[in-house]
Amino acid sequence: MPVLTLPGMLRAALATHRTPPPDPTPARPPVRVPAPRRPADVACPTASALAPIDPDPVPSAGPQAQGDVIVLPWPDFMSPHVRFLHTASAAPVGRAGLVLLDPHTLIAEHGGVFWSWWPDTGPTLGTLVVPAGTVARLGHDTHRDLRIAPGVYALRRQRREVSGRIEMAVD
Amino acid sequence: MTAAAIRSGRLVRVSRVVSDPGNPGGVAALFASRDGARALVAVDGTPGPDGTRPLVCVPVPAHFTDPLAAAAWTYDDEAHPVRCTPGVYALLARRT
Repeated sequence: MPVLTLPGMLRAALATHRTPPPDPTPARPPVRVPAPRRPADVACPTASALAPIDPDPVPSAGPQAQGDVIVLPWPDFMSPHVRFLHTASAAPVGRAGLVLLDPHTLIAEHGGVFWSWWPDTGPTLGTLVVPAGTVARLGHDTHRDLRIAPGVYALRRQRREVSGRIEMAVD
Repeated sequence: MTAAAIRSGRLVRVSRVVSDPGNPGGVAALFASRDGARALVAVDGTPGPDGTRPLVCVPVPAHFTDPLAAAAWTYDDEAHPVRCTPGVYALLARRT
């Protein structure tokens, strides 16, 4: 048996090497891997601060805000006479709901709730009366709903100041 | 648009950053532009279609130095018996 030296082993290895036949399948285009997003590409620097969605919140008797509208409970120290004068003319909200400020819509969820428009042209929209045992819902097409517990509330638009002039905010 | 203005330096923060009441994970701060105008910048309480929560920008009077006082002012009505003071705004149970 011949003794193969290192060059001989190399020659033997090269002799057994065959060029592989061409691949009959067509070449596929290279896979494009998207570049990682830089922080500047993210739409909002607080995008990671996501709160869990609460589709059916517990009714609240406290202040709540839905975009450019806020719900403010009347304070307990309001005199009964003032309270009566503001709520006596409130009318029931029908089953179809009432558009307070498009698209903010007031809905009587359980039982009847009552609404009266505020007569001034300022930011206050009106007075909401939610009797005991009922719940009001403020719906919107993009903002999540608010559920309002029994009580008396002022609903008001948000305002802003632009070049020294006060105007209503629109979201 | 607001985030781009902050990144480019057109809006400069002039107050502390505070938690936005009723808005878990949300914050608010006052920013000023080069012409002295001031704006309240806060995180929207409702995620957008892409799941992120955009920034909202509300111009406020230039004398405000506290973002919560400025936020309360935007919802106040001096002619109405129910006022939205900073103390009332701090009690906000929910913002969407």
